[in-house]
Amino acid sequence: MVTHSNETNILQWYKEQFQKFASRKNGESEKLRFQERLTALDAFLERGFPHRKDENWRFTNIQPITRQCFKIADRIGSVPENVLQQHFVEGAYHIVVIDGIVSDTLSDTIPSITVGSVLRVINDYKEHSHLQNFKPLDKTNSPFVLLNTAFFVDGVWIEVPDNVELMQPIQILFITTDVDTPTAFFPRNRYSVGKQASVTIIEKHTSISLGEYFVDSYTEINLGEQASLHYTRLFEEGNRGYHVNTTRIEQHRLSSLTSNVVVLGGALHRNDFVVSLAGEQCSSELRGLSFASGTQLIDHHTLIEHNYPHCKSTQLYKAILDGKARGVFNGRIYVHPQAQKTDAQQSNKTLLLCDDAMMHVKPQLEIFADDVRCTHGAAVGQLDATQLFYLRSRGVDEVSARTLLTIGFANEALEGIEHLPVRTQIENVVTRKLEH
Amino acid sequence: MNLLEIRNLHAEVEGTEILRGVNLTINVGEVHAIMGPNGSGKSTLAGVLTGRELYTITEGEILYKGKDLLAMTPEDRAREGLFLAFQYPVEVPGVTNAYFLKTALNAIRKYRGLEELDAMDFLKLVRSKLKLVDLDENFLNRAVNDGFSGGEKKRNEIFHMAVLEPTLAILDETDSGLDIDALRIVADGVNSLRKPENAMLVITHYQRLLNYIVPDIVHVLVDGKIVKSGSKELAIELEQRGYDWVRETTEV
Repeated sequence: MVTHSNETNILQWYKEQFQKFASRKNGESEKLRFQERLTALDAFLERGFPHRKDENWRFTNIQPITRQCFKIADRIGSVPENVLQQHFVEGAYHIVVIDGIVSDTLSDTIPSITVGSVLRVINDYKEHSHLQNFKPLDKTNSPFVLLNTAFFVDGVWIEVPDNVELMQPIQILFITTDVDTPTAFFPRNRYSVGKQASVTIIEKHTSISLGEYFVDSYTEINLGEQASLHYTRLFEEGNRGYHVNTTRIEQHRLSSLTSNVVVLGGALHRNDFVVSLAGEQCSSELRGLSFASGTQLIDHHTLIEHNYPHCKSTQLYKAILDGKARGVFNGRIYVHPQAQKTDAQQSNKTLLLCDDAMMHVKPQLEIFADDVRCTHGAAVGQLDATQLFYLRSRGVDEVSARTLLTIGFANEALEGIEHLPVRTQIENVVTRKLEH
Repeated sequence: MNLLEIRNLHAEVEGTEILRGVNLTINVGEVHAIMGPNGSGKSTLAGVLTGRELYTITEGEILYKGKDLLAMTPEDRAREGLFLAFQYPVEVPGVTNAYFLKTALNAIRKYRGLEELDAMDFLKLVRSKLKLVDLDENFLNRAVNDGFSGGEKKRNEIFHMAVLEPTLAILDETDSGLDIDALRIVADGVNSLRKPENAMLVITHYQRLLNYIVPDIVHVLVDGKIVKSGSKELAIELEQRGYDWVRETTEV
């Protein structure tokens, strides 16, 4: 009963927040969009937040999010210049998103591609309906996607035209500032890579807030024929940050995706990564690294949909869990009947640094074609005593040996990150976290 | 002064006594060989000397440079100049040979009050050492022993030894699994590291290795005890007459 009334209260809260939000959005130029917000909100209110009875949320307790009344972000804070510089990686274009809003003044312009605020692009391209919208609303989407649809204000729009190969990576820094009351942010991004175009996008999600906050982010990516995307995401939210991210990628014929996701911070992190292979001979290479300590929870849900023949997907997700941390990996591979000659591999490896840490792994293979190669494997273990002794017997002290082996474990999951400064940044954070 | 002095060493693994009173003294400048049949305790002795946790010492003591070796952590033993070339070199995926070796070398240097080497000086040092065991430079950037052939692993061990320059090196069955060419490379590498100020303990099952690394003293370890010691000729005699001969002649 108590749960029920709490749940009603929180839904009521978002309903009220939307009314306030809508009054601010009164001038929204586009009626259609506003209608979609309303529809999304109604669908959300009807469904409510996911429950642990939902199979998809069985191991992920989202109570920290549902028991708190988060204010919808309505102001943009400021970030000290030196903090920005700390997060910027060398040799990349920088796009800065503060409190969910793209900052034009802090962001670079990039020759030959369209990049910037989603809102501005939508307004600028009013005439071209194909550019205006994200995918049409699907009410069966996760409640978090519905919530994002209702409340999003801005995000990053990247459009790489056909045949453009961008050599220098684009780094997008998503940073939330200090909040006095618990606040929610809803960034929404859309990246589109044209035919035979190629680009590297590096996202970093972080915060300078010591307070409680909630980020509900949504990203849509489209890869044209023979397009190539190197996509690296680093989540390093604050100790009281909760981040739920949903990313949907559609790949067309002969396109290739390399995705690296690294989650190091945040009290609660949930990542839904959906790749739809919508053409023949696509390749998707997914790597993930999670490092959770204390009472952190990091949850990865992946779905690779093989819709066409001759596509290849590989997944390697690794987790390092310390303290009382929880990890979840749910890897779903769906092979449609027509997707013959599919090659799908999935592997999940977990290193437990402490007896109190726990990992939940669930491979979920649904195969409806008969001529395919699909493999999956999972392993959960501790540091190897023989390796530890080997290192120590050469003069390395025990703590350093543990760090070395843990970094070594992590390295395999970072191999796909080609831009060296990013990799170095990640390795440094992992090392720092181990030394804590 | 004796470099190593083992006195009446008894050690067990999970309640089974493996070493039953080993006595052994090694001086600087000497190369000792320990031969013995399978299960005689050769590798246990190497493990005890380097501080592997698997073993329980029930009796006896080990003095190394006059200090109580058994009281030291494995890393401090290494920093004091002890080195074990593993019978089965351990694969460490994700950690490059160069990174590991640089960490190890600098830990040892720091302990000895020496300045740590930077990347450039380290590279200069290891390049010359790679040549000793005929290893290509790309082995530096490969993960430690990961995907190495048996011969490459053994050469990599000697490469580590060459870089770390131990005072007392223990070679545990370094010849096992090597063909004759690889054996020669490894042995040449080891011989070039033989100096008046250090010592070696070569553990082997067969006499073959001792044709290449010629010992000053040969010990025969049977059932956890050194039952016979002698000059290098003892190894040849042992090879001809077998371990049963030693057992028969020592039993009173």
